[in-house]
Amino acid sequence: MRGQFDLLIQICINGLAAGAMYSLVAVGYSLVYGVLRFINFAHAASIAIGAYAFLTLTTYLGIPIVLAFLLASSLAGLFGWTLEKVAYHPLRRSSSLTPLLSGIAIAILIENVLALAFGPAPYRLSRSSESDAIQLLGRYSILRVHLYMLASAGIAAMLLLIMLRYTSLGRRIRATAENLELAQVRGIDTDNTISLVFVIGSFLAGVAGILIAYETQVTPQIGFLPSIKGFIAALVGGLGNVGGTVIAGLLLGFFENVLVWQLPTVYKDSIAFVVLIGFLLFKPGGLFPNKWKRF
Amino acid sequence: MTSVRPLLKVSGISKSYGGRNVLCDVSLEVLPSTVVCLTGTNGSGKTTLLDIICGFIRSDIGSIKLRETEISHYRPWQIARLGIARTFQETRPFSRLTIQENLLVASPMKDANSFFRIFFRPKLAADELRSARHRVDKIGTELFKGNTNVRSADLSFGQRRLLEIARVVCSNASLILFDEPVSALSSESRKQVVQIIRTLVSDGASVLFVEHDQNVIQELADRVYKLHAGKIV
Amino acid sequence: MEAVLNVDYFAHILVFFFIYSLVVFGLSYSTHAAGILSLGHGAFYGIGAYTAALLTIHFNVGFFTATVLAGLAALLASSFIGFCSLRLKEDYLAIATLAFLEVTRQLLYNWSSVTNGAYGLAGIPPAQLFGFEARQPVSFLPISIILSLFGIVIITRISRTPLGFSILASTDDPIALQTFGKRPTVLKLGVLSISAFLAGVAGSQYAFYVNYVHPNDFGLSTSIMFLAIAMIATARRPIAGCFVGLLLFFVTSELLRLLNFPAEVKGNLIQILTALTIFLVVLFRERHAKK
Repeated sequence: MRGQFDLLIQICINGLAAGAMYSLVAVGYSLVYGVLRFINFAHAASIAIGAYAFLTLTTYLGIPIVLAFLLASSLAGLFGWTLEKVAYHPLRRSSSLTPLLSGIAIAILIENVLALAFGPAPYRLSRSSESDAIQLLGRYSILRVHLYMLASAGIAAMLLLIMLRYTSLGRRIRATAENLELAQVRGIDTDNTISLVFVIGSFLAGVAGILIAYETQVTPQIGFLPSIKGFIAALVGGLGNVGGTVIAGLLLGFFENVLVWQLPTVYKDSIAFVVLIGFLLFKPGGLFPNKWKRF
Repeated sequence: MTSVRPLLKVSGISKSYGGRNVLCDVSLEVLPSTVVCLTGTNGSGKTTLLDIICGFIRSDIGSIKLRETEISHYRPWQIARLGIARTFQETRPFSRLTIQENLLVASPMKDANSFFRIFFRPKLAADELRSARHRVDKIGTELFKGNTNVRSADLSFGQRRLLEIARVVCSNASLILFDEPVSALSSESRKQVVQIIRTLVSDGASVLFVEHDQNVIQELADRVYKLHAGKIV
Repeated sequence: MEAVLNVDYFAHILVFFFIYSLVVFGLSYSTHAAGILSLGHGAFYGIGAYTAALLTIHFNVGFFTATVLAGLAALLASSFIGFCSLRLKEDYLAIATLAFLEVTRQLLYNWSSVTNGAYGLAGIPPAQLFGFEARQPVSFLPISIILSLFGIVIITRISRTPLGFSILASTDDPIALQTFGKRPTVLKLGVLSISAFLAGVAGSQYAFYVNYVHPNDFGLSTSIMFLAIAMIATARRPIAGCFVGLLLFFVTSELLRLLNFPAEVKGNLIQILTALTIFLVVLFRERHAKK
């Protein structure tokens, strides 16, 4: 009985770590939807760019890890800025479908360009010390990388929520999210605000990409599943509701891993899709609707 | 004198949005082959009442009867099929379609509109389409001088108004609701529209129209209801 | 090896040209006229392929019957998307189609008892047409051309009738359309069902022609490829644009092959070009949109 319980705790930890990554990715979707009311399908590319940038910086350029971490994430953020300018800004006036298509096109473009540039074979990032486990509370162990995941998601979530609530940028973002025209009338540079929203979201996605690459490996498709699950988390939490999104991400990771304990493992990814379809049909507003105000 | 059964009977309709009373115990009647006008200041709820009659909005309380059938809970397409057509104040053309195609969409057709019958009864569909085109061309010539191959997105506001009216003419409805049919029209077009409405009524239809223009009201209306802040006065 | 002038090879390309055309006709009409963006049309293609394959392997069903049933299976599957379309806005609907695609692929992959999972279904017997076994590209080609014509007839007939005008109207202004007694949702569902049926028919052809199906043949890259080709068409000319798109696709594909890239690189390049096509078409249309 004790063994089962221990196993459950272990699964919970794994689940929360996975959920932490989903949260990081999901926040990007949530922020973009909050201000622009469409879904940034190219988000997967930010994840991949973060991972590959980190790979290049550490392995080929020998840059120390922490610096590379920040640089790579910033590169992902920069990609987000470029993405908005090139692929979304020209399409501002049209229906919410065209940015979707544009985003998907970019996502596929980046994935294949990376495959051409680096080759389709996966790269391993971790050296043995990174994947070592740390002892917790005597009995449980947590992988170092999982610890980093939880920590970074936690820090990011806190910083984000503080920023949104108390800084002038946060106020600008909230005002733009609530009513774009009104914000413009009040003198807010909405274009700049929107760009920054993309930068923040893509930066966090880049962080997620690096950590995921540590846990598994770097491939061109590294962004695919996390971005979908991140989107699902964002939807479940309520697109535009950052706090809800973070919670939803954790919940998703948690449930995925817990359910897979009993189900055959092949169905792990299907769980997220079933959740997606369920919410799309019955609760498209997410778990915590009444969105923009809750920013 | 025998009392005629009303075609449309609106009784006790009330509607409020978040505490604001848009309509308050509104009742009116439209007798067959007559013209009823609904007038009043802006914001008095006239368009809302039209929306409720057509089924786009549900009233809080009250009933709407078309020839003794209660239609207040019907869907808009069901109500349309019972013979009610309407125009929109802001004009809603089918922008990718030409004038002629707009009018054909409005014309009731059974075979040419069915996924099955256009393949299995092509001759019937073709005949239906031919006679509908004939009718549509007549109206097109009258109102648009025959230039019916223009995309409706490219029309001026006045022409879109005329298109709204032409569409409901083609629809063969027995009760037609006009929402400000002559606003922004030249006086010549106004005369045309008034004439069209007269012809519709003499052909057996009934009309309920929302309007501000006193001249038009005088010329056409058999009965006038004035709406002020949601109440009939 | 310059094998293009080989008749057999040329016929082989043409067979795929016409098989894809069926998928693309339906997708194009569904996207442009009915406003339903299906990001996962490959799912219908795959459902058709697997249905036909299973029917003929296990029950010895002949080509024509299997093809019709494959189309119907895909049509049935589309009712799920149809149900979603009743409740979802256009961009959420697009995501639902993506989810549907992925769930279908996972089903095909994991339901090994039926679909043979990751190994795919091999040994699909070739089509028996009027007593002949259509093994060679040249013998299969006539049937794929005929079926493609069938698709053209269906789509053009619909688009030139008042029904077609109503379908366009259902995207332009569904509210106004209701005031004329029509139901936009039913119209859109009808178009979606037809497009799924055509994709299913195409899938069945694929199964009988290639004689092997695998879940990865029907995934996102296939769907996006179909979409890119379909996007070149317009609402008014749903068919003509598809032929242009198909031509571009096949010519590019063959050029890349002639340039002797390794298979993976070729795959990457095709996907890059597909993505660029979508992106450029979207951008271009936006610049020149009449509002």
